Parts: sequence; structure tokens; C-alpha cells
Amino acid sequence: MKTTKILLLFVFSFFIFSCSEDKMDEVNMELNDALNVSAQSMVPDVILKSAVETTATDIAWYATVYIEHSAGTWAQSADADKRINQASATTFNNSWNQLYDVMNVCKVIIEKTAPGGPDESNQYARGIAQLLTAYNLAVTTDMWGEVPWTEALQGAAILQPKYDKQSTIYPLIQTYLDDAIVSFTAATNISAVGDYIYAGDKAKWIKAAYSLKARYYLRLSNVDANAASKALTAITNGFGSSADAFMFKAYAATATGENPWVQFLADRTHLSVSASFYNIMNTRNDPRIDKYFNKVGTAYVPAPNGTAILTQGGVYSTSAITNSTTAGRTLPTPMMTFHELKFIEAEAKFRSNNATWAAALQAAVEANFVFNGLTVAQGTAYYTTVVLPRLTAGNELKEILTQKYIALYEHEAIEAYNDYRRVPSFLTLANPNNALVGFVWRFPYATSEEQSNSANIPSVNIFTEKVWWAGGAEK
Amino acid sequence: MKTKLNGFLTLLLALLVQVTFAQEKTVTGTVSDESGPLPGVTVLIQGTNSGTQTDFDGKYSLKANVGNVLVFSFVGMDNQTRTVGASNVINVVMSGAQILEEVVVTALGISKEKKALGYAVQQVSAKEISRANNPNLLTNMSGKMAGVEVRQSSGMPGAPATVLIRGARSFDGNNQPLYVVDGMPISSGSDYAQNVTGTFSSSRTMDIDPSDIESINVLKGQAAAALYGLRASNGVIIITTKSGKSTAKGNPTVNFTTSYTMDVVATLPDVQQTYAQGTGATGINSVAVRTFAAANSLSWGPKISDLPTIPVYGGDSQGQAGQFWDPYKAAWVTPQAYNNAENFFETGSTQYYGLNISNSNEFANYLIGLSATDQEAIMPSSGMTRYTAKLSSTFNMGEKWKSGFSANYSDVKINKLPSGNDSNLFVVYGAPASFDLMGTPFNMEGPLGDYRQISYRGGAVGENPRWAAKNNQFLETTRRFFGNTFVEYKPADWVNVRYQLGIDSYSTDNEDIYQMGSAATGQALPTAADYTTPTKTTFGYRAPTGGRINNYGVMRSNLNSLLNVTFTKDFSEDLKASLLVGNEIRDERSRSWTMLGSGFTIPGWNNMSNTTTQTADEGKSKFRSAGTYANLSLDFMNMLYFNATGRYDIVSTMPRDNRSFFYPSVSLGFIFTEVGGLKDNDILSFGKIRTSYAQVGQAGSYREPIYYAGGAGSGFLSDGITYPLGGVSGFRPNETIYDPALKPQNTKNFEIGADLKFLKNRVGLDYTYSKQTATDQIFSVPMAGSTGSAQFVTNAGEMTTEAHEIMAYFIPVQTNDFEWNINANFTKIENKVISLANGIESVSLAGFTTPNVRAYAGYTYPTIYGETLLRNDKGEVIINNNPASPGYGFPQAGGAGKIGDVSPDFILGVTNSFTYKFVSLTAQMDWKSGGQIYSGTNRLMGLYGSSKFTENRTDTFQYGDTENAHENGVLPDGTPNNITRGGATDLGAYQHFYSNVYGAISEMNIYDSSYLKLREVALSFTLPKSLLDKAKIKAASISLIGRNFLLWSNIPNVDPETSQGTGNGVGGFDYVSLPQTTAYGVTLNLTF
Repeated sequence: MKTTKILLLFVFSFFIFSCSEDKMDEVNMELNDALNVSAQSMVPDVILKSAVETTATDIAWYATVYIEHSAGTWAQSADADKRINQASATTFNNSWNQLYDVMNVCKVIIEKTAPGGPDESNQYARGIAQLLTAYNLAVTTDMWGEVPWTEALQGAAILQPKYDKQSTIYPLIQTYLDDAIVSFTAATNISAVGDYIYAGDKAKWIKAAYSLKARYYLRLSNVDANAASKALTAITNGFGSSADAFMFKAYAATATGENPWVQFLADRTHLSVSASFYNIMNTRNDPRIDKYFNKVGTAYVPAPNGTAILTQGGVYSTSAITNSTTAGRTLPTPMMTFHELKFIEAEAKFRSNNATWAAALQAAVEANFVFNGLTVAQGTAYYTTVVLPRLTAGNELKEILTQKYIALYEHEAIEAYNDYRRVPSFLTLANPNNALVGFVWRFPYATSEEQSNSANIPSVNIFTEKVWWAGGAEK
Repeated sequence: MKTKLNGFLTLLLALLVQVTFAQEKTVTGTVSDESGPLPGVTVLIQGTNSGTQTDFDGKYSLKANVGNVLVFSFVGMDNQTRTVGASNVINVVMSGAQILEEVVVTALGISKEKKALGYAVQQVSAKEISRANNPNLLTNMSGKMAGVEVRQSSGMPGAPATVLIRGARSFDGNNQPLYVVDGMPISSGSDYAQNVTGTFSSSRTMDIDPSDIESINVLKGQAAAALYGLRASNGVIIITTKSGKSTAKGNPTVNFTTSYTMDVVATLPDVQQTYAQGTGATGINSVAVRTFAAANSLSWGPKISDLPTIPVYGGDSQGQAGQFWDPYKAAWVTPQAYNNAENFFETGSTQYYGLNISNSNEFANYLIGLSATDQEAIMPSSGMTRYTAKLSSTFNMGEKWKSGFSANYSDVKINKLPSGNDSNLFVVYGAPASFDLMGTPFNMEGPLGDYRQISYRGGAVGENPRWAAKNNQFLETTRRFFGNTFVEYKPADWVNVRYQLGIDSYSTDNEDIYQMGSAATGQALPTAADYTTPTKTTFGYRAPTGGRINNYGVMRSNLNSLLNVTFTKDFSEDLKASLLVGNEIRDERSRSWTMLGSGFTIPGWNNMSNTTTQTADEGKSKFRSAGTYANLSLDFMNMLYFNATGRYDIVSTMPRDNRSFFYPSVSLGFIFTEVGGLKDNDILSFGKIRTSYAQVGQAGSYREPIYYAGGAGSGFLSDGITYPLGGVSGFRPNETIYDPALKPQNTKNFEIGADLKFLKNRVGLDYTYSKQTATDQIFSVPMAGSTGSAQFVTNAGEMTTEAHEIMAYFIPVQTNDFEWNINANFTKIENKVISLANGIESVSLAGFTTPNVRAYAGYTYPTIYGETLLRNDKGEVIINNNPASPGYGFPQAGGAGKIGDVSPDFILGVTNSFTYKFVSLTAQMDWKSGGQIYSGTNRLMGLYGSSKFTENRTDTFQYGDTENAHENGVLPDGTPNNITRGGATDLGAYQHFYSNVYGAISEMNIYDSSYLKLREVALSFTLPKSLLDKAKIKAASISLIGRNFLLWSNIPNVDPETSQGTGNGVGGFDYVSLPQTTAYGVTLNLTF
């Protein structure tokens, strides 16, 4: 029995020492991830996600098909061309979740850098987070219209956030940009580490904030009589040259670091050159054709919109911008370019009856030629021989936006999509499915919302109902 | 030993006394049962205490008078009586009521008579497990147990399967049973989950050689398993391995088994053999010529017989009449159709060698076991080798002490193949009939030619499977040691103390290599312009890029400490009690790592140091739990059995102050045939009713809020962007948030059943009804994206299961030479999701964003979710009646929703065995009725135009005529669909239907997964002893076996048991998943 007692004593003491709450806390201690990080450590991720997930992936890949920069000739892109599954909640579920995700990370940075917060001194990180909140929130409401914001990003505290009207969200976007300008202005401890856009140059961030303000002011041209003048005021503090452009420049020529458009081409090969877009350029003898498109054999073979045969390459021309050379793999993602700002200036000035709009348009076209590896002189020649003759009375706005449409190929498809929805009259789309099924005027709400917040989702028909700034009624 | 010796002395004394007073003679003989001599049989002279026991050769000898009646008794068998007559030799064959006295191993290794249980258990014998040479324990269990459903993934070496005992209890958590080997709970899951990409991770039950198993006991209900506490909710599979315990004394017994099995693909896809690679316009009334298109994944081109006439590649106009320029072979060929799927699969094989040496005597017994399994799969460069070694022994150390140990080592290497999005079968099942997959070189010649593939199509899934077999590799190696040692101390008759310490430790090393030039790692495959034409006879040059090596693995070790103290007391003849109190401590540690290198510089050198970028990651985990428990058993008059258990668990992975839980169970068994009037009845030989109630829980894994390195991607991309980028990493908060008030989920189980035996045990029937209610589920409640988080781990929801199980046997014929046995296992389970979290209708478990497998409130678990067919209020499919639309006459998408149910209506496994003298024939038939599967393989074979069901593509047709129609549908006004499409003036209709309707609406890809399978057949010859004695062989048998031949099912092109790999989605989701196999083989078993 003595042995038994010793054995029992041994086991029970082992039991007591091994299972107290403190001991169990120690066993369950976090071993794999950080329990706390600084705001600065989160900056690279909000920039990366805004550039890649918001700007350079799914939303742009669908927009490029809707706007006929490209024709979808395989799988989901062909479905987009044929308007199959476009109203499905799953189509943009990832994009929706990613947008709120990056805005949530921005929110944590803003909290950490708030007065009294642990990273109060890092106003630079705060400015980046505020600016990117504005940027991502704008994409969210531009694509979907009414979206949750005032009750959003509360985690488990509000599991079913209500949806806000776009008209109430747009002023908040401007406020975030204003706040960002204040933060950047105050920033002192600036770290270039992880600033994939401006490498620690706060002046350029401020210019980006003003340029974005101009973009979002002009977006309201249908609903705000002062949109153009507000945009022009902002432009005075915007980009001064292409060197200021708001672009993500950190791609690496590696499998896990290359431009997502290149990955999309290699992994999927869903897109071909759109016939309607090619024709617009071809009738203008646009020298950018050689920069934009690849030939099939000896000729350009664009894909007919909405009726192309299914192919993963070889049949139709594909983009020459997205290519697997080192330059293509590391091509920056434009989040807002200098040429876009100049086009905004041209349109705003034209709308304000400011005669210098044509000079802004010429500057925009020239900047875009340089952006695409051509010369200023080639741009000037094109402007003189092709653009100028088309600027006849009543046709000015149409040509300004057509030139912008050409210039935004192919990585700035989201802005081209926004322009068409704002001013549909500038462009005649060729896809027969627009008549058969409808143009995709807005994106369908996401699966995650249908699954967990269905009671709050406004009921919309994506083929007939436009967002507020495009002239739609709000719900 | 002392007791036994005392017995002998008493006996001797008695005999001596008898010698003095009676006319005696010595009676000798051998006692045996069907399997040979039986040691330890008690031989008593009726009405006296005189008697003896048989020795290890079954022989006995005792003094008796003529006229004495000898009673032969042995636990688990009918008593036999013989009257001593003139003969001095009385040989007896024991048989019979094994079932009545069957002893089964229950929770924590407690042996109990089956009749004393108040809940259902089922035992499967070694014979049944090793019958058909299946080296995979999980798939081996299919159809052999009532209440147990095995959802297989494939027949590939090491393929995992989902085993559900009485359905599921957790929405997205673990529903797999606990596996206990020789008293020690072991790791049995897959270390990595597979969804729709990559390779499966084998279940750690692969480390067990099924031939080493003596028996499997399944504890199905929570009452049966309650003593295991938190791990008991999914039932327990108790495995007892072979040991030296029952080996005859004397020279060691040597048992040698070898088998050879040939494996072939079970279901070949049915492919069309008429049309070539290519495509055409698919609009309404399109009469565009179907064009041949190189480097295109579609088979909607011209007729193969018309290839000589086509532009560019046709020979008729180029002086090569009747010929076709094959752009891949770069040669003029006579066009012909190839059945690429049939040509691609190989004949696999499985070789098995097993050697056991065992021995025993009064003081000890041991068994040494060695085995080797070498499996080659039906697809190239895939296979498995498994080596196992074990040593187990027990020692009797005097009267009070006993100890023993069991040590097992295994080494399992599996060469796997990816499936789902990464499957090589995309290019096999989708290959155009005009493409000669096996006859075309799979890479080019010239500079770096080995790394410049020739495939008929592009895209990441366009990898040539033969190139992949040569260049890509997916290797999983596991080395494992598990075992335990125990000491038992019995200070008095009424108390027994047992302490057992076990360890289970393994490391799994995985190496996934994609060679440079692999399309799966970003190599853009050649386009039509790169392939040859009659005027350009050389291939274009594309520099090989890409390549990836992923080294990842896990080291895991478990420690299990178990102390049981058992007190037994017989208060009277009619009231016996036993009480067990005990304690169990588990401590688990694991470390996992990933080293991912991408972009090889030097082709062919597959080493991390050859990659241009590397990322590394590690994961560590610790877990501890402690349980204290008690079990009280009462036996009234061998008629009424009562059992109660309670267990108190403390577990580390729950939030502070929420870590301890108590779970009770009670059960009652009543043998009503012990009641006076019903006793000794020949019609109803045995009858018991039983009932039980239990509660058990499942703990969650609570984590504090953390930050981790983010990244960016898209569902369209294989890689996306990963850190470090530009030398830095960016961090983000966890998108999963945890409820700090998390508590364990609770499963309540009520069970009632009856065990009945009729006609002197010729017919037996066990029926069990059970109802489980699992509440406060711990699961990741999906959150609306706008909340900023993805999921909230909390308690919510309820799931119920109602199960009907029947185990039945029938012996229609039983003579000395011939016996016919029928065994049936019937399972009907309704596993229903009652509610999820507030406002949540369904949660995704596996699959794509859509379609996928889900838990859906109000439906059985799990369901399939995806794009539905547009239906009217009556549920009829609405047909598009817009004549301008290419979809005219076809169904339309109706939005996302539930499109199928995975759970079957019932499963029935029936085994017939016939034994005639030394020959026996056994056949196991499995019937699964009901249940559905999403078949991505069929979707793609339709979309590509490679399936046979797309062949009849030039005739006019109505939607309802197509093989894959879901009824014919109605027009929007409710009248029956009468729209005819296709024919010479509408050539694009068929392709539009398969590419854009069948290929786009997931509900169209839902199939009934019912099947009837001849699962196992074995024809065995046991060689007669007379023959063997001369060869000094104790026993020998030879068997011819077959598995999975004959299949009846309703799904084209794939086996209904083909599915993506692991977790709760298995069985409901096929996406170019790996196939099942049919096996034929021979087994030789020799005992020396």
C-alpha cells in the first residue's frame, strides 16, 4: 500500500501543479503572433492592400470588361462580357470584404495615433491611414452606392451595421482628406520604411490628398453645381508633375512580388483586347496602339465585345502593358496619375467656362504619352492632328472624356468606369448584352452582407439602378 | 501463480482421496474450437469440485468414474457436457454462444461483458479488417459498422476520409472520432486541411497497419464514451493490436503474411471521340464554322474526320491529302481520336509483407511485429511506402503486480498528387480527343527543352500531366513513435490500481516541388503562335520561369498519463458493484514550419538555395488538459445493469475562469429473458433493452487579440503579394475575433435500444435509436464585411441528430461442413442544423466562394450551396424565352442558395459469407441511398466539350433532352418548355448550353451520389492440417480478394466517392478530384 500512496501522491501533486489557472494561462500563452505592434508597422499593409486589393485586382478586372477596355474571353471575365453571374453576391464578395478590412486596419492606425494614443507622435502614419480611408471609402461607395459607414468597423459590438446614403458619405471622404492634410502637415517623426508610395516625402502625400479631393469633387458633377469650382481649388495644391503621381512602386520581379495584372495574365489569361476600344484608337491613328496591344501574328485582332469565342490566348490580341518582362512585372500601380489630374482640370475648367481647359487637355495627353513610353513631341503632334479637330462646339466634353478613357487604359479602369457612369453620353459601348441584359451600373452586395447583415441591405437592380452621383435615387 | 498452484494442490488432494474410495480411470482428450486447440478450458466433474484445466495444447487429463458427467466450460462459449463411458478419450469441440458472453473493451480500456452494457458498441474483428488487403484503415471501415459513415475522398495512397459516428455535432469544428490504440489516445487527424487546392494531408491513422489490428470497438454514443470527457463527443474508435497474450506456450509462433494487389482506376470518364480541339461562336442562330484552335482548352472544334480540310492545319489543300498537321507533334498525322483518360491511367500495385513473432508463458508474453507496404498508384509518380515495427509485452510479477508495454514505430512516405484547382487531371479529363496525350512529347527540344512544356492548353491548370509527373513532386514523410507502459497493482481482491503513461510523437516533413517551367508557378504556357504550323515547323521559344519549393512540416508530441483505481464488491449473489476513480492528464506540444522558396535560377536543381525569394514561417502550440472521473457499475441478478459516470475536465485552450466542466452519464441495461417465464426460450434466446443519457462537450481554442503580417491577393491569383516586400513586412490585427466569454459546446445524447437473439442465436438483431442535441456550438460565426472583421468565434446555434442503427446477423445454414452467414449494418441518420447564430442563415465549410459546402439552418448537415436555377413559385425551372438571347430555351441563374444535400437517406452494408470445409467466400456489398454531390469534374468536362454527353451536338434539341437536364422546365407563362435549339442553323446552341448554362449554374452540376458497390470480395482457402503437419506449418491460408468492383451509380464520369480531401466538406464536393480504385489481389498467410 505504501507504494500506492507514493504513486498517488506523485500523481495528484503533478495534477495540482499542472492545472492551476495561472499554469493554464501559461500553457495557452500566445506563441505565434504579436500581441501588440506600432502604427508604423501597420503602414506597409494598408498601402499594399489599397494598391493591390482595392486598385489592381478584381474590381479593375471587372471594370475593364464593363467599360470595354478589354473583352473577357475566358471564365469569369467571359461571364462579365456576357453578363452571366454579374448580379451574384459572390462575384464581388472578396472585394467588399477586402475594402472594409483595409479600412479597419486604417482605423486601428488612426486610433493608435490619436491624441493620448500609444503612437500619438506618428502623425505621418495617421495621415496615411486617413488618406487611405478616404481612398478606400470612395471606391466602396462608388461601386456599391449605399454602404455601411457610420456603424461600420465596430467588430462584434455592431454585428449588423446599417447602410448610409452615398450623399452622406461623400462629405466624409473630403473630411478624411482634410484630416490627412492636417496630420501630414504636423508630421515630424517621418519614417520612409514601408512607405511604398512616397518613401517618406510628406509634401507629396499632401499633393496626393489635394489631387484626390479634386477627383472626388468632380465626381459629383451631376449632383453638385459647384463640383467643378471646388475641384479647381483643390487642383492648385495637387500634383505638379508626373513625379508627384500617387503610385504604388514596390513590386518585385518575383512570383510573390510581381504586379497583379501580370499574375492575372499568367495564372488565368482571361482578358483580350476589346474591339470597340481598339476601333476608337484605330480611327484616331493613335500611336499608343503599339504600346497598348500585342499583335497576333502580324495583325491586331481585337475580340468582339460580348460575342467573342472562349480562348485563353492565341486567338485575340492581348495587352502589351501587362507583360512578363521585368518592366511589366514591376510596373507601378497607378492610384491617381498626373495625367488623370490634368484631365480632371480640363473637364472642370471646361465646365467652368475657363478657356484654358484646352491647354490642360493637351498637357494631359502629353503626360499620358510620356507615361506610356512615347515623347512629349509625339503627344503634341497627336493633340494637334487628332484631338484638336475633334474639339468642335458641343463635342468638347465628349472628346475630353474620350481622351481620358484612352489614357486610363489599362490599369486605371476603375476611374474609366466611374467616368462612364457619370457621363454615359461620351461613349458608345458595343457589347450587345448591354441591351439584352443591361450595363452593370453598380456592384451587387456581397455574400458576407447577405449572410450576416441581410436585413439592412438595400434592394437594388444592378442593371437598371444607378448610384446617387450617377443620377440614381437613394434608398 | 500462487492461486493456480493452490488449485492444483487441492485437485491433487481430491484425486488422492478419490483414488482411495472409488473405481477410477484416467480420461484424457483435447478440447478445441473452430480455430484449433483451446487452452484454459475448465473441466469439472458435475456435482463436485474436482476438475482441471486444459493446457496450452488444449489437452487435459483427469481421473473420473464411469458415469460421471464432465462439464467443459470456457468464458464466452456454451458449456459442453459428456458422460464418461467405456472410452478413455473424450475430445470436445467448444462452440456457440460467443455473442452472449462477448467481452468488449469499453472506455478507458475497461473490459465488460457486452450483455452488461446500457449502450450500443460494435466490435469488428481482425478477419473483417484485413480481409481485402486495404492498407488504409479509414476506408477499410466503410460499411462494416452501423451508425458509422465513412466519406471517402479517393482511392489514392494515403487518401484521407471523414469518419462520422452518428453524424456530426460541430458546424465547422472537429467531427472526427477519437482513436485509442491499446489504451492510449493517439493523434489521428490530418495536420493540414485541404480545400480546393493542393494535395491532401494524410490522416495519422495511416501510421497503423490494419493487419496489426486484433479488433476494433466502436463506442458510438456519448454515454459509451463519456469517460473520455471533452474528447468523447464524436465517439471513440478503440483499436486493440495483436499481442502475444493468446499465443501457445512453447516455441515462438511465427506468422507471416504477404499479399499482392493490382489497382486500376475504378471509374473512367466517358469521353466524346468525334470532335477536335477548337471552338466557335456561341450566339443565337450562329452558324459560324467550328474552328480548330491550337492551345485552346475547348473541344468544340470541327469533326476529327474533317481535320484534313481545315485552314492552316489541313493537309488536303497542302499536298497531304487526308492528313492533318499536328501542331504539338510538329508532323503530318492521320487524324484520329484518342481516349486520353483511358490511356493515361496505369495499373498500380500494392505489396504487403507482415511478420509476427510471439510467445507466452506463465510469467510473460511478447509479440514482435514487422510490416512493409509498398504501394504504387494508378497515376504516375504517386505511391506510398509504409514500414512498421512493434514490440509489446506484459509481465506477471508475482501475485500482486503486473506490468507491460507496447512500442510502435512507423515510417510512412507518400508521394501525392494535387487535386481540385491544382489537379493534373484537368488536362487528362479535358484533353481534346484530337490531341494525343500519351504519344506527344511533353517537352520541347533545344535549349532548356526539358523545362519548356508542350501542353494542348494554357493557364495555370494547363500543366501537361506527364510533364508534371516527371518534374513536380509532392512528398509527405512521417516518422512516428507511439506506445505506452503500465503497471498494475492489486493489493487485495477488491482493489486494483493501474497507472499508464503513454507517448505519441511524430514528425511529418512535406516537400512540394514545382519544377521551373511549371504553369502552376507562373510559367505562361505556349500559345497557338508558339506551336508549329505546316509553314513554321519549329516551336517558339519561351524562356522557362517560375518553379517553387515548399518545405513544411510539423513535429507533435503527446503525453498521456492515466491513473485508474478500481474497487469491486459483491454485496451478495444478486448485487455486484464496481467503482472506478481515475485521473487523466494530457499534454501536447507541437511546432510547425513552412519554408517557401520561389523562382528557380538553375533548372533541375530543386533545392531551397536555388530559389530567388524565400519566406519562412513557424507555428507553435501547447495544450494541456486534466480530467478526474468516476464510474459506478451495479449488477442486479445478472439481469439489470446500471452504470453511471462523471468526469470533470480542465482545459488550457479556453479563456481564464472558463476552463473547467463536468459531464455526467447514466445507462441501464435490462435482460428481460432472465425473468422467470422468459428464461431458456428457444425462439427468443436472448433479449435486452437498454437506455442511456449522457452529456459531453467540446472545448474551443481561445486566442487573445493578435497582429500578424498581412499581404495582398485575389481569388484569381495563385500567389498574390507576400511579405517581406521591399525589405519590410506590414502587420494587421486579426480578422478573427474571439469571445472572451467562450464556453464549451455541449452535446446531450439520449439512446434506447434492444439486443435480441432468436432461434438459439441463429438470428440476432440489435436496434438503437439515439437523439443528440448539440447546443452552444463553438464556431466561427461569419461576420458582415462591413464590421471590419471576418469571423467571431463564439457560442451559438444548435444541431440535432436522430439515428437509427440496426446490426443484424442471420445464419441460414449451419452444418458441420457448411455455414452461410449474413451480417448487415443499417444506418439512418438525420443530422439537422436547427439554428446558427442570430441573423445567420448559413456558413461555408469548404469549397469555393461559390459553390461550396455549408451548414444551413433548417436543413440536414451539410448542404451544398451555389448558383440556383431560376424557378417559379411552384418550383418549376423557368426557361429563357427571349429569342434574341443566346440563352434562349435554356434555364437561367436564380441567385445563390441551397442546391443540394450531402447526407444520405440511409446506408446499408451487407456481408455474406459462405464456408464449406476449408473454403470460404465473403462478399461485402454497400448501398448508400440518397445524398448529393457537386461535381466540378462534370461541369468542366461539359464546359470543355470533352464529355460523352456533349457529343450529340449538331442535332436540334430541347433543354430537357440533354443528359444533364433538371426536368424540361416551363416558359415564364407556366406552359411547358417547347423551345427547340441547335441544328444546322444554330450550331452554337450546344456549346452555349454547356459552357454558359451548365458551366455557370452550379445547381446543374449537382448529382445524386447514391451507389451500390461490391466493396469487398474474398475467396479463402484454409489448407487442411493433415497437409501442413508434414511441412511443419501450423496453419496456412490463401485468399483471392477484390475491392470496389461493380458499381451502380447515377453520376457520370466520376465515382460518387470522389471528393476533395479533408474536413466537413468531404463527400459533397468533387472538383477534378483524384479517382477511386478497383483492386484485385492475392494473400498468403502462414503460421509456423
